[in-house]
Amino acid sequence: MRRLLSFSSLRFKAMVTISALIVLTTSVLGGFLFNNLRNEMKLELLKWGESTARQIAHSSEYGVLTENSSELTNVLQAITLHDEFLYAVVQDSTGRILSQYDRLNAEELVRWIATRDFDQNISKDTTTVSYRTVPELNKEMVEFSFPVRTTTFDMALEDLGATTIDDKAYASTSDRIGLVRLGVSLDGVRDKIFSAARITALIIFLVTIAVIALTAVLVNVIIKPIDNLVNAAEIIATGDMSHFVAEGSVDEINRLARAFNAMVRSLRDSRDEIEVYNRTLELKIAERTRELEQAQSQLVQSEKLSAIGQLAAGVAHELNNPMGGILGYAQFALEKISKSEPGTISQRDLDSQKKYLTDIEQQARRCRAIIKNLLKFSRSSDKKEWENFDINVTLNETVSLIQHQLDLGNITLVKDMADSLPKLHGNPSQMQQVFTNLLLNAQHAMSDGGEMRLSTRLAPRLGEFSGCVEVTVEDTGVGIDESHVHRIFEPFFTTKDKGKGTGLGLSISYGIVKEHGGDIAVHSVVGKGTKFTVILPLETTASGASEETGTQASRRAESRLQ
Amino acid sequence: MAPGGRVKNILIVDDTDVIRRLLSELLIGEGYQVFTACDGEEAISVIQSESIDLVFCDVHMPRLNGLETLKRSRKLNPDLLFVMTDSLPDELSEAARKIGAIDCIAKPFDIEEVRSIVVRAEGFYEKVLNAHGVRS
Repeated sequence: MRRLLSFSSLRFKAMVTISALIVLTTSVLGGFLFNNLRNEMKLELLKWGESTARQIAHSSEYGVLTENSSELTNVLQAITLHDEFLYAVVQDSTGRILSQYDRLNAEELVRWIATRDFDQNISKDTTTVSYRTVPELNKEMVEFSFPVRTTTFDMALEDLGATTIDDKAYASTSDRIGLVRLGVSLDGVRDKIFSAARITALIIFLVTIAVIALTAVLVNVIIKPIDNLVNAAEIIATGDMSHFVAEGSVDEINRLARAFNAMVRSLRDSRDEIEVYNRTLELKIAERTRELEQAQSQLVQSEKLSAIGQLAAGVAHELNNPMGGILGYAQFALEKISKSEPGTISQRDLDSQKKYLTDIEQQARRCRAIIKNLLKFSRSSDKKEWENFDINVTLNETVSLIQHQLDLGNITLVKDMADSLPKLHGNPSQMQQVFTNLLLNAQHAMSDGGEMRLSTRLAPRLGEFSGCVEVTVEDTGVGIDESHVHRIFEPFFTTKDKGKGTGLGLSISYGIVKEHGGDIAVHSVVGKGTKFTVILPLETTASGASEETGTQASRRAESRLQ
Repeated sequence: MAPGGRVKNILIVDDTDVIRRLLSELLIGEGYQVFTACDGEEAISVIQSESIDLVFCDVHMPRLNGLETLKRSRKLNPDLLFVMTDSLPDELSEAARKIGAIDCIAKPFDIEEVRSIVVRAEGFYEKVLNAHGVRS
């Protein structure tokens, strides 16, 4: 409905244009008809007036000749029946009024009119028509004047035997004995013209209205399906493909509607097809993702197994050497004791027994150390033991423990600690283990002594990055070969001589730092030195606090149970 | 107690001090002349300078590992008898045998096992000499 009110709509434009054309056409046609009618009526009036004037002139011949006023009044009486005849005057050849009829009751005026153009009019053989406006009477009229002629003489000539009389001769001989003036009002004609005009206008109006109404219906017939199409197109534009346009007969609009529906159908089909593709694509992606995840987890699993295998092999190898010593010396000792005679143990035998047992003890200790380290490596630390600690304090304690060893190795330690670092949450004794390891590794890399640098700094919180504390241990030692750098965190990997290291230190350190949510980075140049950077996040401090309260609560619960 | 066979000089190659000491004491006790080396490189130089008959060689060693040492040693002396020592001998023994080791013993080993291996090595030595046409 809003479309009907819109000035820019097709319906409005069509209606205005067509209506204007119809109004223009009917107006021109009406005007033409009206003009024609008016002319016809005027002509009719003129004919009528002329013939009446001529008739009066003929009828007045005798009356004029005899100058008989009453005779003439009788003649004029004939015209009183018609309202259009305003006046009639019969004059003699001198212009004297012989008789007069006057509907207007304006005797003086008629007399004055009778004086107008008398000589001119009487001299003519035809009717003289002159339009007159009488302002005094507020009337428009036409005056017909016709000369009164006598034919008496002619008849006499005929009577005398004149057989051939040409018209000219007749005309010249016919005598003008007077003049008849007949005033005809134009009001009647005008009224008729006006009523005709009214009727014409009415007909034009009605026809226009009818035609406009018909046009409106027609426009509606054309526009409505277009409107429907537009509405449907708008609905479809919103993505609702279930909408169709009603189809009807076989006109152009309906062909358009059909084409439109076909278009919507194919559009819907292709959209559905795309949706189906999309859905299958999603399914395929989900499937592939699942496969990938499975493959990944398998990979992780096999990596784990391989790591376990490596670890087992390493453990076996590491333990079997001291176990070989223990077993061998134990068997030696047994052999010696079983061979010696009861009650007589020589000093020499005693010494060798002592030596064997010392070896057994040492190798057993080594086994214990390996197993202990292995347990540290395998055990995930108990977070219940975590606490807030100052990394600088932990580092200073670590340094004080190994200071003596560093001094022996002729190593200068330079400390560069950042002040007022935020406290970290974790296991400080494990951290001590990590840094003992790193510092001793650094010392071992500098067998001829050198400078070692231990520094801490704060990398503040920034955006999503929660911030962290960085601890760096830098030495000026031999460096790590590039081919070894990626292996140094592997369990039992060592570049040290056998017996000097278990190959578990860095791998345990790495595990501890990872458990604290941190990371260890290595940068090494062979012959120049190595730099280990330990990154410890601050975030664990916040999450750890709530954990701790939970732990305390559970501890309380435990103590109550006990 | 002293061996009457051909095997006289034995080389012990191991990076673990206690194993070297144990084997040395054991074999010296059996009457053999014993040499020791900490790794493959050292072993090669001993083999070059001394007249070694039998080698007890560890597989996992720094610098030059046991199998490489075996390969290189046999190039120097194809008749040299090798016994490999390792924690996981099953995996290794076949590969070691292929390149000429007469046996593999698993760590930790019994001292009796070592003694019997030396006895078997004596037998091998006889076969080798016979093959070369040398009569004892």
